[in-house]
Amino acid sequence: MPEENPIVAEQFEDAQQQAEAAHLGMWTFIATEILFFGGLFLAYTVYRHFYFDAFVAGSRHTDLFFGTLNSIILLTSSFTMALAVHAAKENRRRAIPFFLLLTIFFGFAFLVVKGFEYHKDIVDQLVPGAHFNPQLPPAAQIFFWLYWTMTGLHGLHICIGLGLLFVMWLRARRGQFSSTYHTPVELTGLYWHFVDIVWLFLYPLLYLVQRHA
Amino acid sequence: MNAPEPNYLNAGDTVKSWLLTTDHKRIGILYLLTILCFFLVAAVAAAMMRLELLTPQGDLVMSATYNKLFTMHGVLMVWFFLIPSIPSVLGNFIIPLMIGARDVAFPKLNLLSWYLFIIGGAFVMHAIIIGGVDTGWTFYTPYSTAYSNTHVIEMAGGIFIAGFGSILTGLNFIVTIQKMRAPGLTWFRMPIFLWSMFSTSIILVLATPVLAITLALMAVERIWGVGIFNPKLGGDPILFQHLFWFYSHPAVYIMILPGMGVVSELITCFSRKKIFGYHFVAFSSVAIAIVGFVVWGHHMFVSSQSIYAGIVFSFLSFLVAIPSAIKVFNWTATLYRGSISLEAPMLYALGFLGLFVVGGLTGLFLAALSVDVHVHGTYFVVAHFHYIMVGGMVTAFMGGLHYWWPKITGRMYPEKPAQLAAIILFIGFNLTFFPQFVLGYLGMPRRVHDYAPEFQIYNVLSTAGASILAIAYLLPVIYFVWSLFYGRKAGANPWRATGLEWTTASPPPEHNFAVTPIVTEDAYNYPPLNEVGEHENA
Amino acid sequence: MKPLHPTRKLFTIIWLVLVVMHFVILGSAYLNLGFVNTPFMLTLAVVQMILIILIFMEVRYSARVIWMFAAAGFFWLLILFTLVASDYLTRGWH
Repeated sequence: MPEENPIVAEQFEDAQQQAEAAHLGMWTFIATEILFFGGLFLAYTVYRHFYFDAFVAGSRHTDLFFGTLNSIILLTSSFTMALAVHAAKENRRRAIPFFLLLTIFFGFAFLVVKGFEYHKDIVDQLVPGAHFNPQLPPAAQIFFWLYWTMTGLHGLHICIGLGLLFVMWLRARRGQFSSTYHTPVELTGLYWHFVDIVWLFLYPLLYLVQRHA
Repeated sequence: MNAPEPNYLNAGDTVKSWLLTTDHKRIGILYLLTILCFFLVAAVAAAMMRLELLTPQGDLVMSATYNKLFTMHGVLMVWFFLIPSIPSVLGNFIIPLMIGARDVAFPKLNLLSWYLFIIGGAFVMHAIIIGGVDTGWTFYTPYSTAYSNTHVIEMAGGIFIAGFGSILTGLNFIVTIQKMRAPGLTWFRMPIFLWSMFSTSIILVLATPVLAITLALMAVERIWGVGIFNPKLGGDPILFQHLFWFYSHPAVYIMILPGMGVVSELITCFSRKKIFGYHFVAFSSVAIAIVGFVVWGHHMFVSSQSIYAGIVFSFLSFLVAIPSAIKVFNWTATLYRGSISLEAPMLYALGFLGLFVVGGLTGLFLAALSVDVHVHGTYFVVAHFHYIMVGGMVTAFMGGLHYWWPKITGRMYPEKPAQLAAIILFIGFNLTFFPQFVLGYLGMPRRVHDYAPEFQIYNVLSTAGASILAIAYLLPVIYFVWSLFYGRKAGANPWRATGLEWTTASPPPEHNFAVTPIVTEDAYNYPPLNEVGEHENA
Repeated sequence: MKPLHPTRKLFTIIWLVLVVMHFVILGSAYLNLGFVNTPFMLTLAVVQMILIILIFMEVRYSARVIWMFAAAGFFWLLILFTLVASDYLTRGWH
């Protein structure tokens, strides 16, 4: 199959400038996301400082099995995402949608597990408010609004990522990506890896505050 | 009579060709029209406030209404006029021209940013129409999250959405300036306007997300009653202020840095001289952007934040004045022995110099912890920031608009009315805001609609000044519109200025340059002047 | 000579290292290391992040300007944390 030349938008001089600009744009966007999530991490740090014992108590009520399972799922999805980009660079064009689909599968699995976990959290009365679990100190509600907002915002980003991956999968199936043009796959990968990195910090901060006796 | 040259204005004349444009020049104009609408609403709010303040009693509006007026004024002026003004209007229009590019890096994101801006603005306007918000533009907690009965979430939501528009603008400018400069246009050959816009974009991109999450958390607390910033529920209201000012202090540099960039262009052109100390001015722009991020606590000296943090923030706030001062010295040195002409843009630039210096110096007063304790929350602060924002930024915006008007529209504005308007602005502005320094020093608090009788004379002077200021803003609207129909046709370079934007037609063709220019000289390479300020080869 | 992009073998190794590190983090939570617990876990998380950034996100193979942009976000977050800490940690001092 002949390699098509990538379409270069009229504001760019050549394909290379276009690709470099796209990468720079995505990294700039990721920097904004770091600051966006960063505000939540700051609030977490401040309130953990003030309410450490309540954070310990709250953290012990998070579901370690679901959390750990989701961590492995997400790390593996980053692996398959990297393989999708790699396939594009090596011009193994049929492998691209395969690995993208695998990544979607893992991302979707993450959400399914999260769904079960959220359900269990609600049953265990871990939602701050009038029906908050009476066995926990009141200040644990602060831990839990952080838990729900941080994992919720993260989950929203997973959903957005899945949308992007789906579009990429459709385009890959139509043979639009090759070793000469695969920038959208790379950029989707950058976004997906970033969302994985956020989880890597959420996990110890929410699930492992103090698990030893 | 010849048919007009094809240019970006006549390339497509349907509404759709404007509303779905990806041409940075048209997007700049879309922004101009929309920010003027928001400015008008915010100015009406200010007019009502100044009318109320003519008398010591609160007799024009109820205090609750007055609270809504200053909130509306602040929100609209900050987020829907000042922040987008130079970046989204002049930046969008001029940056690609100035670097020799055909458009910005991401034209579709550019259009998206405008739509986010107007959607956000629509939410804010709707919140105002259905009753407004009374928290002040600063949304301090727990009042905003637990006690105010006004439309806080809708207004915050509008700001949130518009904020993403400004992030996209900043992102676009960073990549455009980084990647799309014409061959030969190295970093240190760029006009200073580009350095300022790049620095502004850094702030836009790194600070605005923190505002976004802060507004979101404010909404979460307000909706679900959880303890984020409400002390009754275990939250810390000071955390809100830290997060809010982490954005909002750099935001003031988003507002002034572009103005400084414009002033560098105006002073060089109308002194026919290259800028004095180019590297210092360029690096100062970056320094302001960076150091501007570490001073936010000076808004919180009396908030009950730790006094030691206050000391650190006070010291850093003194430091951030240094790059601004360097710029002022360099602009002054540029004027020295220049071949100065006093067209309207230059009058605005000179006005900027004086007014910005007053604003900046009074900022130092406020940076001193001990002084701030007395004048925090008074009209001294109000006067300080209006000297920078209005005396500085709006003046620079007017100057830039006049300077680049021929490029944007292909027409010259009428010079004499423009010069008159600039002078009226300077007089009206000082009359409005200088008495407010006195008021603040004497102790009149801000955000109140009634006051002790001994303050009346200064308030009357201020309101009188405001009416003169209104004329200074109205005049340009009138003659700019006039110029669209009857203004003298401008050539490519009516000011005989340097800069790539002046090498293409006025108005520019749709894709800016037929051939990508190649840059071989430094910025501002005006012919050398002899000792009496004349060009050697006149 | 450094290859232009990572190999599948490298990706696989990194993935396995990340998973192993994850279980080390989990296991360390059950040991009573006093005040070291949290810094230890966060340090490992930072190492995981760096591996993902350098290899999965290919920053190691990218131009220097990408490094700078990647680092900038974290640097600015550091500013936020440090100066806010200067308030909270010194409030009790008199």
